[in-house]
Amino acid sequence: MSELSATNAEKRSTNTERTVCIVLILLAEDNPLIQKITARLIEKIGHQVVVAPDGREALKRFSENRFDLVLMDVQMPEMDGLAAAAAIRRQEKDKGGHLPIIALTAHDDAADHQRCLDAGMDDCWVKPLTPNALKDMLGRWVVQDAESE
Amino acid sequence: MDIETMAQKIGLDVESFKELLDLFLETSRSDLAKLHDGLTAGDAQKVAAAAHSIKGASGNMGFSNIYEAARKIESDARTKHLDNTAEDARIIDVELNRLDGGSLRRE
Repeated sequence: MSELSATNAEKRSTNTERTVCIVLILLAEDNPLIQKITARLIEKIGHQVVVAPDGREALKRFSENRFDLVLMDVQMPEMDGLAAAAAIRRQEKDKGGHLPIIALTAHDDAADHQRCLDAGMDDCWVKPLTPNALKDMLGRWVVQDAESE
Repeated sequence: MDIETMAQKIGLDVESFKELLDLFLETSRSDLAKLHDGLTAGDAQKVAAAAHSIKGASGNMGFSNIYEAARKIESDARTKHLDNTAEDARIIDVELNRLDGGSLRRE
């Protein structure tokens, strides 16, 4: 796992073109098929992904790697996406930093979006995730930050 | 719709799509069996959970008929209405068989 983040940091520091930045994404999702499809989409546009099947596992991965973005399913067993996002924000209060967390939700309603924002997530996307949506997300939340480093 | 078009629609190459289609059929059949178990037992929560899983997977694969039927089953089951569930589940079953034995498989 540490190898992944080293590669990531290395590639980022040697590439100045925003389009060739390789980002490392943490995908927290319990549905095995959605895990695979989303991971495939991420790899297809040239980025790297680590998959966690629930919120607890996502927290564990968060402490092991330096990610550029989290895609967080809301409804998951063990620990849901809201609790996992809140826990990441609590850890950041001590450690510093702000990792962009995007909620992936099945429900297209305002109250649901608000719960995600209240838990400390930056944005909310109603599934399914498409390649274009993913690119937009990266452009908005990740690439600009990487560019200014 | 041919397999190239379907793969392109969700942004994948044909090879990946075929592999994920197999996985989709396998997991959705297993979920559909759970849904029927839940229905037989009158367990609305179990029905909703199975429908939720099918909904998510079909939505990501771009299978709108299955998605729509699963969405309806889940939403009905959340309010404990299981009267139309058997009929909606049949739509899913028919669509899964169509995907499995249809033109997508011949390529």
